[in-house]
Amino acid sequence: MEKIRVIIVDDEEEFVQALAERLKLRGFDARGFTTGAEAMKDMESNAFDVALLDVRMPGLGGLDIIADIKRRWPERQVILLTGHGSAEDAEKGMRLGACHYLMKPIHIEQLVEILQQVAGPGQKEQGDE
Amino acid sequence: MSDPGELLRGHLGFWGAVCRSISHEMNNVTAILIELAGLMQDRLAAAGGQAVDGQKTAATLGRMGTQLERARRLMGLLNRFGHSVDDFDTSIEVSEAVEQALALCRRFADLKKCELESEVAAAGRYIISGSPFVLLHILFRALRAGLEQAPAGTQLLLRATAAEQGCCFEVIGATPTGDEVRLLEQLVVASGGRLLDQPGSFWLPARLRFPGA
Repeated sequence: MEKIRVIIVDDEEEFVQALAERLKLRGFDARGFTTGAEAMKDMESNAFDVALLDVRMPGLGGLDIIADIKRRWPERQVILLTGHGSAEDAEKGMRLGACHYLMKPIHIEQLVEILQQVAGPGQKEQGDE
Repeated sequence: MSDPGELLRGHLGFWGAVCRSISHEMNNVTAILIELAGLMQDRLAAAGGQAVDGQKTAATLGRMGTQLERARRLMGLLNRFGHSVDDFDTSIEVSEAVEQALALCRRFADLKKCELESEVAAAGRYIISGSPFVLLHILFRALRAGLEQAPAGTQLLLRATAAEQGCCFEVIGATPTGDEVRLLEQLVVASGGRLLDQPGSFWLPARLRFPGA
C-alpha cells in the first residue's frame, strides 16, 4: 500500500524531527521543515498528501501559506497546529481551507487517525485523480 | 498628556503579552518533550524486545535535557517578571533591567526574524529607583515599537547610557512607529522622563514615577 506523504512545518526543529520520525515508525512518508518558505519550495517539486502547519512561525506562518496551498493543490489536505490561545487563528485557518486543527501538545494516535481519515486509502486515490 | 485609563490598559496589556508569550513557549517545550519521550517509547516498541541503539537514545536524552534547560530558563524569566511588582520603589540596576527586557522581547523578535542586542556601556552599574515593572514596561514598549515595522534581518540595539540625574535609552536599528510609540511616549512622560530628538530615544530620571498611579 502506498504511504501517506506528510509534510510537517513548524519552527521548533526538535518538534519537527521527533514527530517526523514517529510518523515514519508508523508507516508514513514524513518530511519536516522549519520555515514556510522551505516547505513551499519543497511542495513545488515533491508530492504530498497532507501538510501539517504550525499557525505561527517566523516569516510565513501557517495562515499565510494555507490559501496558497489550497489554490495550487486543492485536493491536498491541511491540518493546522496551534498552541493554546490561538484557537481563533485555527478557526480562521479552517475558513481558509484546513480540514482539522490540533492543539499542541498533540496526541500521536489522534493525529494518525486524522491522517488516515483525510488521506488514507480511498481518500488518497480520489485526491490523486 | 497621558490618559490614566490608557496607561492602565497599557500596563495590563504588557502583563498579558509577557504571560502569553512565555506560556506559549513553555507549551512548545512541553510538546517537544512529549514527542521525544514518545519517540523513545516508539523505538523500544519497534525493537520488539531487542536492544535499542544506545547512541540514538543518548542523543535523544541530550535533546530532552536541552529542552528541560530551556524550560528552566523560561520559568526563571516568568518568576522574575512576577517579582517585578513586589516593590514599587526599589533600586533597579539598569543593565539587569535591559537584559530582562530583551529576554521578554526575544520571542517577538524571533517571530519577525530580527535580532536584539544591548549595550549598557557607561551605565554598567547604574542604579535608578522606582518600580522594576514600570522600567521593564517602558523598555519592552521601546523594543516592540522598534520591531513593529522592522524588516526581517534587522538588528535592534537597545543602548543605555548614564546621563545627568538619570539614564538615556535609545533603540537603534529601526525607526519606531505605530501605536506602540504613542503609548511609549505617554509612559515615558508619565514616569517623569522626556523624549529625545531621535525617535525611540528617551531620558528617564534617577527616580521613576509610577505612571497612572
